[in-house]
Amino acid sequence: MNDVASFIEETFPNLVTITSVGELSKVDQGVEMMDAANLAISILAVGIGAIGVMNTMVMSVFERTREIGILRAVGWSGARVLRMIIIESLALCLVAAGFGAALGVAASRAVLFVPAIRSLLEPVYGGYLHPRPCGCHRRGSRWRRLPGLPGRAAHPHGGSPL
Amino acid sequence: MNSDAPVIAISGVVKTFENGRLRALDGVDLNVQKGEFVAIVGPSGCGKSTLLHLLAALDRPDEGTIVVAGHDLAAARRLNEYRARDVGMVFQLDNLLPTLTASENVQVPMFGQGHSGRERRRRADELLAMVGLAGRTRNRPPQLSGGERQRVAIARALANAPAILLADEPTGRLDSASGRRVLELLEQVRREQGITVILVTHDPAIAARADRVVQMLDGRIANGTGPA
Repeated sequence: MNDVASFIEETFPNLVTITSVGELSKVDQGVEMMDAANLAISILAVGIGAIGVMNTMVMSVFERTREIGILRAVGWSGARVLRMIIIESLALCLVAAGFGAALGVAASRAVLFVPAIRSLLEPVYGGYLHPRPCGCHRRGSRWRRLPGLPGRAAHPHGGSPL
Repeated sequence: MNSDAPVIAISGVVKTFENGRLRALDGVDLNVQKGEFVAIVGPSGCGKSTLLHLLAALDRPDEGTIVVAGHDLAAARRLNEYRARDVGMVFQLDNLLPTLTASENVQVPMFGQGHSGRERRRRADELLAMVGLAGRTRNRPPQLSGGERQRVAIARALANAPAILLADEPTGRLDSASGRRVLELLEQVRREQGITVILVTHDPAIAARADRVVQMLDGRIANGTGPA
């Protein structure tokens, strides 16, 4: 077993091998805790975000009721008003998505200046970045780079996809 | 349509609110001829504004018929074209969109009416010049005085050259000089364009300038239904 472990570590210098069940369970418990914390923070962030979006939309409806009433009073059809709102919403979403993605990349770069975080994370920017905040992507947390676990070499992008 | 036929024919109109407990209009009959300037007067709560809102197709009667410029407002299903083309409405509050310029506010009713952007701007500039605001086309409502905002509202009401102009206390929140200017403007529009003007007011002095004064009381017309 030790020979195999030595062979692996010599062949793949970025990998660390685990040879005993006790060691594995300790590491696995750490991974599970990180997963749980990750999930809790994600749920909290989505919850706070949802409340914020709901509040904004409710305020928007109150503010725009008068405007929509005026438009209907001067002859706009319901379909035209609906079209205006949809086009406005789409434009707002596109601009917000651009700003949000840029801000997210900047923020993820900024947190790397904190040494404790830098040792845990290395951001990777891929196509799966956007579904993840929606809770559609869970696999990434398995690839987190932790001491004693396969890190950069194990992930196709060379780091954690967090 | 017969040239002698009234442009507005209201017959037996009833309008209630609060599940029928409040009877705002109680069997109103009224005819208005093309080009008439009619003032509707009466105490608060007598149904003046309700009647005007029914004429503007902002609401529907519970009973009776309202025929305006050939449209049966009680029976018609889609009235947005009527609101856009056949009537113009001036409210007590100017009801302009504060984020748009004066010119853009005037253009709002012209969307969906087959005008190009250039035509809309040209028409809006003409109307704003007519109401004496040629130099204020780029100003937004918060940058205008109350009288100027009301004149923009009149220009907006005339955007699609309607046959009928409805005004709900258009001078109610203006100082006397601005109110006089707005009234002169309504008279000018009626004189030059032959538009039928229906004006709701509390003020007997304003009502005295109309061709005919319709007195309302408790949801009914108190002084006859047709032209004098």
